[in-house]
Amino acid sequence: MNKKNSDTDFMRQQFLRALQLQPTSTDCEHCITQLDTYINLQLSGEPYQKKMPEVTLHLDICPECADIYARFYELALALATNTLPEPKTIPEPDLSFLSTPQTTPSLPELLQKAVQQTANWLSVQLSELLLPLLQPPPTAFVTRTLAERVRYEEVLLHISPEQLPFWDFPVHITAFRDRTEPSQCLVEVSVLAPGKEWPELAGQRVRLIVDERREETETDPWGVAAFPDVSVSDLPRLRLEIELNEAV
Amino acid sequence: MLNMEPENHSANDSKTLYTNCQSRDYTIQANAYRQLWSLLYPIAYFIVRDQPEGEAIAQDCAQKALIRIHQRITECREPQSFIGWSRQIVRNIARDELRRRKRLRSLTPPAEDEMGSGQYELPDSSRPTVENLVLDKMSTEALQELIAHASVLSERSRRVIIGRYFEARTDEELAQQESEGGETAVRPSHIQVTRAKNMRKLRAWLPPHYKQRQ
Repeated sequence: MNKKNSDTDFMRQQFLRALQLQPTSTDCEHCITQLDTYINLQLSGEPYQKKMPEVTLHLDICPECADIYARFYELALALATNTLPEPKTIPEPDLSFLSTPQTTPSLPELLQKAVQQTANWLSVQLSELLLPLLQPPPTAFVTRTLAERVRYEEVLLHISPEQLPFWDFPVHITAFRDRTEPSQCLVEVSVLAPGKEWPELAGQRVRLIVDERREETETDPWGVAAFPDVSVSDLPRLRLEIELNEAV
Repeated sequence: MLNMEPENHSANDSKTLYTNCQSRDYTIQANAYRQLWSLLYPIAYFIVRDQPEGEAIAQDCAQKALIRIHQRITECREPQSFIGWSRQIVRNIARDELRRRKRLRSLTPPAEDEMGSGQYELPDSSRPTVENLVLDKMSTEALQELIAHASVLSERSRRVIIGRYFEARTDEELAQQESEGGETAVRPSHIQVTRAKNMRKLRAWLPPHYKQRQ
């Protein structure tokens, strides 16, 4: 098959995929993380749609991501050509966060105060100050069915092992809003015991404590302990404890 | 990372601003953050300007960016790129706010005029695989003919879809074509958004027998 026929066939297949595929939140997150590279190639005059066909395809099937791409593209173009329009008025900023540096500690400082280690347990105590700083990463940590992914799409907070360098135990803590009940969320704790991997990650005890609620569960073979039906308003007072003993 | 460094600011401007934002002298620090604000607010506003209460959203996003920059300033590893790094932060906050608002809107039924009297439903997520569809057996010419006769598409929409998938044209070429004879310039980003919206319409419009299993 010569190159022209091969290209034609490839585009035909892409068209059929564009008619058939449904964008998932994971696809969207992946696309969003690629947009900077995509737009860089585009503004450099590179064949960006050929070099990144999966991003092009996703933008064709997801109007929401296409909208984000368009805004980012226009912004990049305006900045590159120094034509960013000046708003008619620019309000004054609120600089009260500067008044006393101690009242706005950094994320690492807050995390260091929030975590404790006893002989057998690691614990994380969330707070009102800490919560807004725990922004979700571009790619949410997902280990569930498609239906559950749609239900638990919005990431409310995420703590990654990189933010807890003072722990030897890699732990991910993520809270997902429950789309069917937006005042509730699913809290997942992923524990990767050193020297262990799937399916040997099961059996690690994890506790969730908030006010009068105290629950304990064990990690599954992927090392994930899940706590559904946590009230979103309880997150600032949430405490999680992870057992340090080796998984069973 | 996208190059967010401003053309009209030098690396020294970035370094100076970076240093002053961490000054122990409140006056110097506050002035530095006001200067940073004047660079960040226009970006937030540019991203969200078409939203209801766009100015308020932009102010909120820029304010969040200012605080986040203050708390994470030591994570900026290249002071000479501090302005670009800060702009990246406010841009992403504005992006996340847009996506959050769209998700909230998706929880409520769309207005009738948005969805064309309920005519365009989102495709079923249990749609059969490509290999089992009638579409897969259609020739390239037949597929092109299908688009040409799809009543849900405007003339421009057809050109944009056919141009991309059947004539191997880039969005830059399509934008130039659509700009000719028009009053306003059409950009590649407009072409992409048009195509995405109309591919969704096309998917919903396809007759059921095109989706039957073989």
